[in-house]
Amino acid sequence: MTQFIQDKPIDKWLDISQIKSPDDNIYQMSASDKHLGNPAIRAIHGGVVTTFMERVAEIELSNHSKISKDIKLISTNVDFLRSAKLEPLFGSAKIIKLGRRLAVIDVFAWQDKVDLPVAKATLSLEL
Amino acid sequence: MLDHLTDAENGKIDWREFAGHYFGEAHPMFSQFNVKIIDVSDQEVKMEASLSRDLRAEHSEHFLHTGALSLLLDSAFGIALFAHIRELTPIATINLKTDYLSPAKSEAKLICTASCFARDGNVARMQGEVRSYTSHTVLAKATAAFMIGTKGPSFASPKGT
Repeated sequence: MTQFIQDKPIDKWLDISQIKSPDDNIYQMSASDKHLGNPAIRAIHGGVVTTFMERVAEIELSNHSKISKDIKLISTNVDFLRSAKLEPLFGSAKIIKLGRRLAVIDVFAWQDKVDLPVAKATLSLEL
Repeated sequence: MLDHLTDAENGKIDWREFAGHYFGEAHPMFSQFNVKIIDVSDQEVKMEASLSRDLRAEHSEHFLHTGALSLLLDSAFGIALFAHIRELTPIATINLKTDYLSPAKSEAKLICTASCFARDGNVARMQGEVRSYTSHTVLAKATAAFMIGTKGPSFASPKGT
């Protein structure tokens, strides 16, 4: 089931939706021209990929049943593994550590195949 | 195709004009950044920007989503690296680490600086920060590694202009 997540301005700008499955939450960004970096290669800007991965981490954490506090992003560390084409971008998050005040989350983003990620990020968030 | 950016006397690219063109109205995303180039040299890029309300984290607040600052910094790194190596060879971000220090307001004037602090062969190391124009508070600091000479067309190709 696909559920659009557009209650925040940044989600509308990214055009994020959530694809719910029994095993995992997968998030999708519908890429368009406003997300382009270098128009010559029709690639999504690395900063847009970063923003999408940050939102995936934040949404996943806020969806977590134990979280009711405000979430503040401390830092993001992204490795760009492949060029992201101007096509739908998918992401999923794994909560590595969830403490009382701090969460560490890994996010993977991919396009054609889940085992061919375009980027991998580790994010530190304050709760 | 870069004739309009090239100094007729010495054939060199005018990097300040290139940066203005890069962030100009023709680009669907950068046109939302309202960028004004303050200075471009092989040492540093400095620019003003005020980012669109579309990049806010919440409807009820004026603050930008943190990712908007990474967007600005990654873009500034690209310009700073072009100006540092003095050519428009294709480049790609290998990694980007951003520390978010304080919230940034949408439509407020920001100052972004970026520079290349080390280069080893085809790998360049970049650093930069975003400050509030009014309070000078540091809002975000970032470092990145870039690969120089990747495959594909550069910003100098016809579609990239």
